[in-house]
Amino acid sequence: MKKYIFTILFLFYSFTIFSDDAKTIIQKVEKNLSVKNVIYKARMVVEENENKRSMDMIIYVKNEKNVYVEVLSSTDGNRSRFLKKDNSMWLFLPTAGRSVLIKGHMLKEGFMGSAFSYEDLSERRNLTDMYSIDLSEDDNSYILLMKAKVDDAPYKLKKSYIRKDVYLPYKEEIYSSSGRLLKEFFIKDYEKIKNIYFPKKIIMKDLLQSNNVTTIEYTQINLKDNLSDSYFTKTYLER
Amino acid sequence: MLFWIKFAVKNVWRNKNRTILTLVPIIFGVFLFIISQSLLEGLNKESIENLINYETSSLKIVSKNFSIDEKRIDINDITFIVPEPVIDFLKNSSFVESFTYEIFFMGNLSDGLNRFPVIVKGIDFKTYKNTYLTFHNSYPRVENFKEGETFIGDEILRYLQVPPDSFFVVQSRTGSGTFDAFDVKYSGIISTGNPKVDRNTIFIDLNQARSFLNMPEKVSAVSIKLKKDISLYKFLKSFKQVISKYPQLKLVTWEDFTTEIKAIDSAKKSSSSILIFVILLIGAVGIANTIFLSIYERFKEIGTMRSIGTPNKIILLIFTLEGATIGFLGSLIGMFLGGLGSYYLYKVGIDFSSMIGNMDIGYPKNSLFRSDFNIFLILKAGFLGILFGILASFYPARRAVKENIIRIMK
Repeated sequence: MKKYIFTILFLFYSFTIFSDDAKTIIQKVEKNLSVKNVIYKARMVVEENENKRSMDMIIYVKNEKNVYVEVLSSTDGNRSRFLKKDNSMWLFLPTAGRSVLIKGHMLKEGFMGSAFSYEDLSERRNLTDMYSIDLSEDDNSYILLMKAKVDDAPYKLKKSYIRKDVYLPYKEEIYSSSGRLLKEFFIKDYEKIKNIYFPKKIIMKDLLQSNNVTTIEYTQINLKDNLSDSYFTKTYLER
Repeated sequence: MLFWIKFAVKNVWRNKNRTILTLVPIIFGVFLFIISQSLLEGLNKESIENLINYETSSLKIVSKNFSIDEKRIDINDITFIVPEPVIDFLKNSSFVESFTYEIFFMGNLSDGLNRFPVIVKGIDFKTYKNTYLTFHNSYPRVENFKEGETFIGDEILRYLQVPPDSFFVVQSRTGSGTFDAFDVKYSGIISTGNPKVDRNTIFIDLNQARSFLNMPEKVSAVSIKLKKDISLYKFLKSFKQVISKYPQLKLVTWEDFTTEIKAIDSAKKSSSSILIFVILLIGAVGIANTIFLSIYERFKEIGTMRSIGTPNKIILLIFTLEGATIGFLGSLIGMFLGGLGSYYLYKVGIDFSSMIGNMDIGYPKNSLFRSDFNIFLILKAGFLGILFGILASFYPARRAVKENIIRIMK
């Protein structure tokens, strides 16, 4: 009997420690990935079959909730602007001369034609709220296996490989519920600014197509103490 | 009167070459009118048949949020659970031949190398076959299909080019918006002649679709096929009492789906009519010119006739009849040639695939166009030719009776 009680207590105890560890790791990762007051300059390259297009963007981020993206130049002449404020998102199309509210199923579409969806960029819920997480590790990385525990999680199943030294994922694999690998996400480079590790180069591969890769490279990262609210208004978007 | 008619007809052949040259644009105009209008009529008719046989059936029960014009489908907005009394009514109605449930959503079909945007239709194969003609030309027969297998439009396979029994991945979003995918075995091919089906639709089992979307019991539409002799109006009248109890649902008939076809048809008919009108106008100018020349050549003859007391209206009649005769002859030949051409196109058709390829022409129709052989259309074209002949000769004929007798007799 004592043996059983001991085993149960041991399992409970180890589960608690294990669970805390996963939580801590995720918190550290989210600290790096959750954006603060930052101005980025970035170059996005979208490769799809034999087509390749690129765009240079400026991105303003304030307290996660507010994001403003402006395409400064692009190979296809696209000069769209994008605003995310709290839970709403707008896309300004200069050719149409007006902004469109992105909602419902539009959120699932590719951000400016890339392999990232608007939802990928706008998701603000904590990973632990959406996924049940199993932790394992090898010499260099923690491996988080995340299974959706809520109906509206962005993905059914994903596996994240976290660097032990900087707490940034270097690779994420997105699977279907049947276990088929659908997308791969890589952080190829990072930069340490004020004790925060910022991804410098991220790559998303859509594996349903032979050559569908989106690369975002941050050429400039300016961490600010504060950013003016005027960037995050419809007036600024439609100016 | 018969004398004057014979007289006018004989006068037409006084200058054969000129008359034949005048006939050419009229023949061409009438021929073109018959061919283009019968082709457009055939296109319109076949498009509507394709719409009913492969897309809409007689009518559909849909959610009140469903919109025919909205091309992007938000699955949560348009799905519903079919109320039991509605099912009972459809099962027991003597007007209904069959009905079937559908659930459809947007997805991407991938063979691992290429990704192709498709409409995924979850259907009950057995009842779908009774309601639509989609699987009448399918291979293999639909009865042998199992869950996890799929029918794919032949045009999609032209793009993906994979052997039968291959597996595809269908990627989409579940009902709650989660990015997910499932595998389907490609086991069957469909070729309906309706590009909307052949180019971008795949069919899977209703339960598989519901399970993927996590929407058990829900449907996007209930398609209803009425018995042959039952009018939509008759059915709607009988069904009104049942369906009106469910404000979240509405009915859309095949006629509601034809707005786009009608608009394109009307635009195309108008533009081709303008072209034909111009050709016939050229013909009319030719007739007017011929009559003018004839009048100037026969000034003395006209003067003599008027001097001996022939009434002006008879002279007017002679020349108008000459114009009408040219119009009639041109129309007759045009009707004959147009009729032959139209009949050929009705039986054999004309394949425009080399010209239009995979282009969306707005009609739910492939590139083989067949005309509608319509005798009334041929008669209408003939009448138009004669009318142009009469109208074109009227003004020159008036000149003949307005001229001063003494001047023309000199």
